[in-house]
Amino acid sequence: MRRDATPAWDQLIDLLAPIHGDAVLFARRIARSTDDGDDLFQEAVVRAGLKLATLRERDRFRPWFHQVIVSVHRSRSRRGFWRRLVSSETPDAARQVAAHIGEDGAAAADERAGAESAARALATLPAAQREAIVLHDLQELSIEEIAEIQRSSLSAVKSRLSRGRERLRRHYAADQRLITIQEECHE
Amino acid sequence: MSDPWASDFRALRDHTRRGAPSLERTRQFVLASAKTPLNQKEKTMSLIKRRPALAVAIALALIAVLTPVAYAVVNKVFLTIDPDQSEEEIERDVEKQLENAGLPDSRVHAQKDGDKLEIGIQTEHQEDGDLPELDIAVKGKAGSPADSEQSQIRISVECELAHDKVDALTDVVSSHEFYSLVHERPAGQSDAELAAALKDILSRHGFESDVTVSGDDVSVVVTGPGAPASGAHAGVHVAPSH
Repeated sequence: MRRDATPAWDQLIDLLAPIHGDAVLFARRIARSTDDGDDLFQEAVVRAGLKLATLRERDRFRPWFHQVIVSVHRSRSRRGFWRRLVSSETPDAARQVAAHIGEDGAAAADERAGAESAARALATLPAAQREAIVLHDLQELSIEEIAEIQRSSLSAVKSRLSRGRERLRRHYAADQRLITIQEECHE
Repeated sequence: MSDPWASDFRALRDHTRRGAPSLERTRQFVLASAKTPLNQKEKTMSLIKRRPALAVAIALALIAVLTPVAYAVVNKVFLTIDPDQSEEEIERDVEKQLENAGLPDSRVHAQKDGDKLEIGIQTEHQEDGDLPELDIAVKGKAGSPADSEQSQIRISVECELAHDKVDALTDVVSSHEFYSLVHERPAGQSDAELAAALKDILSRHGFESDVTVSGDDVSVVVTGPGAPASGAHAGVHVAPSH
């Protein structure tokens, strides 16, 4: 059975247009790599197209589509659940993210280093904390919006943000110690 | 004072936006997707939902609670699982119950296979608190836990394990060898014999443990990541320890 493009798909593109950049950013930064993020985004787009009839209010499309991304992301994570019960992403995944970032020669070296560092730090967070941090600190969404997207309570989101930041703080402190040691070795 | 990662996050956001696929590219993808045969799309997109529906009874609820550091069990969390729900609904429902019990970042994996339902739960260690014990009730067809044939394996870790060791432990406890010993228990086998057999598997894969069996309930406490005994492969992959 083949299906032609239906009004629902056109409608989906219309709804996606104003949030497209943010949604891609979210998918890329919660996934294990930029490529995985693009795959995640595409899978979410397809799922959203198939489920679009369940969207009751068009002006709620932004949180609704982010919910779809979270749902797809968690489904993809679960497929390897027993092999990867540890929720944190591996350092390899962070290196993979950094490698993708490094492919863009146009970015300034210090910006690239900063972006790599942030990607490494984000990759150490458990999925739910990473989602919350990306939505809040990169997309500047409110706690209420994040709670809706994660289908969680406000207190759960606040807790994720707090513990996520604590992990980031520890990660950056460890990175700083490493840099200091390296500098001392060079002297 | 701003967070030390604030400027790095700005760089990451700017960079990610610059390299992102355009709306036009997404439009092309959507148009191509709309022409994909529906049955082919569902085959790749609905892996979980296509699994067979649950039959009459719950044969096994496998509860794996893993934490990388020692903890003391002081609280209990009572979870209720409705086997008539889809795997995704069960996962969401149990995650919600765990969140309400103060474990907001728990990961739940539900898998139905014929008349079996496997539930895996991972909770994140809270440094400032104790990890609650989980107690699971599975609704039977008539809504009564007594209607289900259910056994539980509780696995807790009371020693420090590196991530690769946690992976290895997960592989062992979710292996067919381990699972089938509990699920396909031979008639006449005593609780002590089953406990010894499970302890032996863990030992061969390098884990010191205390195992107690009481009827259908199995409790495994991993006390140390000892060196694996020679020939420890037995159908499960054990990650290298370095």
